[in-house]
Amino acid sequence: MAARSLRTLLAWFGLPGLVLAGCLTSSATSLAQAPTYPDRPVRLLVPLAAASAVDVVARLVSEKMSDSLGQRFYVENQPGAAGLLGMRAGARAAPDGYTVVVANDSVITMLPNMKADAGYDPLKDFLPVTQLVGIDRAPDAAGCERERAHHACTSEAGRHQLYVRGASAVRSTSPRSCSCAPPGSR
Amino acid sequence: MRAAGIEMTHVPYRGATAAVNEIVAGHVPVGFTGMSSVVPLLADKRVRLLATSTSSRASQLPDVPTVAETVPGFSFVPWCALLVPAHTPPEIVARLNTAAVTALKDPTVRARLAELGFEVVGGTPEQLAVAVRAEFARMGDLIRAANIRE
Repeated sequence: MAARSLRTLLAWFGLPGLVLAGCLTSSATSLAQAPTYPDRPVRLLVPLAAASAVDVVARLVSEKMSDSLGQRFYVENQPGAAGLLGMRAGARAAPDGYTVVVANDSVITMLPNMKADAGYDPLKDFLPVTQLVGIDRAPDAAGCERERAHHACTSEAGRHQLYVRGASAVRSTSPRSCSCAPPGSR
Repeated sequence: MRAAGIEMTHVPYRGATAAVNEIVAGHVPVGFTGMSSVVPLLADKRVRLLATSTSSRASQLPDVPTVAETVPGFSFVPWCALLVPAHTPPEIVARLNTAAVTALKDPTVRARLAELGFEVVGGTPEQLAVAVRAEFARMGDLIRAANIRE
């Protein structure tokens, strides 16, 4: 529609077709940017060591993301300072879709609360894409109602336990972390 | 520990693998770590599970009690997520979300993650935003209350 009126407008003023073609091409390129993404390999920045839990998840997911988006998603580990270094690198990376950070709860919610000079703000320097593994998704409207009720309860699905402490809740379907001890210890 | 009225000495390790190795060797009496670091050691009984940290028992570990059974209301679940630098275009965020969620639906990925003790979550960027804000506030309260500093 816009192209047609532009063409009409330009024809009106008798501009050569070559200029017109140039205009349309550049506008088509900027419009088509998202559909052509990704047109080169995408870096999955893991702020933790190779073979860490986050790294294992990142590698499993990256393979399938490569398949569905037709470009290589490669994992780059930037461990150090408990994840601070990688998170800082992620916060400073170009926001062009070619750097994606795979991070855990520790570097997203704990470190920046422990260190005033963490060098990144998880809420301001990053945009969320999706949770991968761990806690169940944020409580829905019904879950929030129950949260206000301040007691343990079961969601509509009938299988999600919602436990509430203070103003926030963690919901899960099964335990994902544990305490352990050497065999035979008491 | 506060809720249970017990005291423990925190021994920091460079990663869960190093910590679990020390528990297996008996150098550290008790540890608290992600399930994926421990599950592979269960088959030959190299560690003994005392408790899981979330609200209900693990389906694959029905005999292991939860901490919440002793300390009502206790819940702690590690998680991980995909983020992009702020100002990444929304169309790109949407494409990444679709690709990641599709990856999480793949049967081989799901099977492997379950084997490692992870629960597949997925979801929208908005759902993650809500979760991050809530958990950031909760951890902030907890960390300030316990005066935890690095």
